Amino acid sequence: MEFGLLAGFWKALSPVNLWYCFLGSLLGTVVGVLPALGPATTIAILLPVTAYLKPTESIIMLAGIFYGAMYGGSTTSILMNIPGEAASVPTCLDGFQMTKRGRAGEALAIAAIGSFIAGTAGVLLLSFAGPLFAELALAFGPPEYFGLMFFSLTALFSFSGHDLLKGLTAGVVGIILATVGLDPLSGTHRLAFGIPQLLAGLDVIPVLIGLFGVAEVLASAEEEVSSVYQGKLGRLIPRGEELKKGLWASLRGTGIGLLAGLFPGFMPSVVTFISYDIERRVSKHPEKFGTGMIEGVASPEAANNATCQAGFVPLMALGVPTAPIFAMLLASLMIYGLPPGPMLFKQHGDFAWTVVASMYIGNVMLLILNLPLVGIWARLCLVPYRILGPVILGVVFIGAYSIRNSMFDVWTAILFGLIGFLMKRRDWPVAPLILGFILGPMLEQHLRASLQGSGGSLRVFIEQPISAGFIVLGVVLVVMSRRLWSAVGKQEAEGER
Amino acid sequence: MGLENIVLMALAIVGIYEGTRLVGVPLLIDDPVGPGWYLLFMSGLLFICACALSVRRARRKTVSPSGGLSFLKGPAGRSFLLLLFYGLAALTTGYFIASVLFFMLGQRVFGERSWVRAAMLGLAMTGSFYLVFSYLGGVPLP
Repeated sequence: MEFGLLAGFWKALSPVNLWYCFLGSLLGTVVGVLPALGPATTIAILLPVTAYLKPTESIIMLAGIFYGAMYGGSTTSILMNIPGEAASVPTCLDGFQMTKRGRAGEALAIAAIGSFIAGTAGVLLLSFAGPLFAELALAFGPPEYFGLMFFSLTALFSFSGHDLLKGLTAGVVGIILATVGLDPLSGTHRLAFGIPQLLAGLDVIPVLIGLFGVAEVLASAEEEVSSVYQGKLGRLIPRGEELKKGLWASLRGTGIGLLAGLFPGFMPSVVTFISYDIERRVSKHPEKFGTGMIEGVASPEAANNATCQAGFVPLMALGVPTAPIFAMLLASLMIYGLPPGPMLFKQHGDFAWTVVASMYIGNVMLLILNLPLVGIWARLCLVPYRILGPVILGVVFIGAYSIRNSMFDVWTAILFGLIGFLMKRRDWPVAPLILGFILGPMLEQHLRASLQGSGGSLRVFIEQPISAGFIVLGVVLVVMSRRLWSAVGKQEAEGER
Repeated sequence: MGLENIVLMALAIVGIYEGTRLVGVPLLIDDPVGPGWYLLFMSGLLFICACALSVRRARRKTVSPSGGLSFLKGPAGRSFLLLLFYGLAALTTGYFIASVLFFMLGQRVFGERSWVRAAMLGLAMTGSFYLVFSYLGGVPLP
């Protein structure tokens, strides 16, 4: 294996391949930076560009595009509060607040550094432990995944802030909205009321960009802001205590992401919420999350990248894509006649290890390319809002329309923009709604699959130790959340006295 | 009872109605939960949450931070109405003309004072978008 990896590096490090990797990173970042275009869409747009190259060059360029797209998505989350995908939502929570305080550079830099740390660890994991963990992943069945989704949903209490009831309500609303459309198991329509466009359900991207992007623009219009930030930008690279906090958060996020990303079903969107939640719980100042904490950016960004890296293990070893972005990569590998799966490393070892090596090179390229550009990206927040606002809305329009070539998605984004704006005005937390929307379908799917297998007996969730463990942990976390926010509330009340 | 409580109760009642309808639907596969029970459970939970919020509101006699739809009169309302206009215009006149108008009016809503500058920038923005997304990116536009 070690010789395979070295041979992969040897092949990937040629000047031509390095050039294609750089080009891919640059293109991926430039397109990924565009608001409302997430990594999956960015890769879909740029995939045809790679079709004219040889397989090795294509895959290396694709690796660069992959990392560039991931980082580009983070950039819009931090600078404009527009998540390009569900996994970027936690980054918005503190990243945009840092931008509003003139610390956009630090947020962007720690996102790049954290992503690099996670990417490096991920490639090492893939190289040395991939096959072992692939076996472990097979131990997860529907009851275990249900337990996991239940555990993940308890994070909505953490995202509720002081008002747990509002958070729970928002989460349940998200779960109900996710049921709109055709039931995947029985094919019956739910909450569609004969409207053809609703049969396909609500897509997550218009909901996201509406709740965050459009809502933010409406809020900025109401406040009559002249730009996202005015004044001199702070330092571009974190230093001292801030850097230390960011690095530790990156390491924690990396660990969570690597462990979780090995299992199909642990999508990056789930893992980033979990890592943000855990980061808040271990922090000495949990009440400050959501106001511009560097850990709130570093941890989910590292977790996102680590999950994606770890997701290569089930992709390459089992041929199972764990997220939409991997479905794109799977498609590209199959275009070259190289279907991932157990035989990939045996029959096409040289190509497989070149892919692994190119991922690492793409990761390094990302850091080399984007750290110097942090200053340029950060200056976007100084652009007058009379220009930036319409541009953001214009890209939201295109981003929503391009999903299914349907104006319905545009209307969805606008409607959820209004909802998000009103939620902000009335002090309702938005993150629980998103969490419920994302996790609800998975929770239902695994619940029904588990009960089908057990003949309707709920004991299956208790009898399976992993499932029971997740459920118990989730209940414990709910109790702890309540106590945590009660303690924070008391501290604040004492502080005011 | 606040506006949001009414909306939540309405959503819950719709969900309960739909869930009840689906519980009785015959299925071809053996599915103990079916398409109805999950929706029914969540809608019931939402109804309970909405009631709890109403009770809490009545006890605290709280007033909503900002009343109803009054925002429609301000810049946020104008931005929202402009978005609706953009969507309708795109359907009737096509992307290009709708975007020129949108970017021009959008700048005015966000504080641009000069119509000439707004028009020029609006054209430039539309052209750039068209070039990047449609021509280079191959993204289909309405």
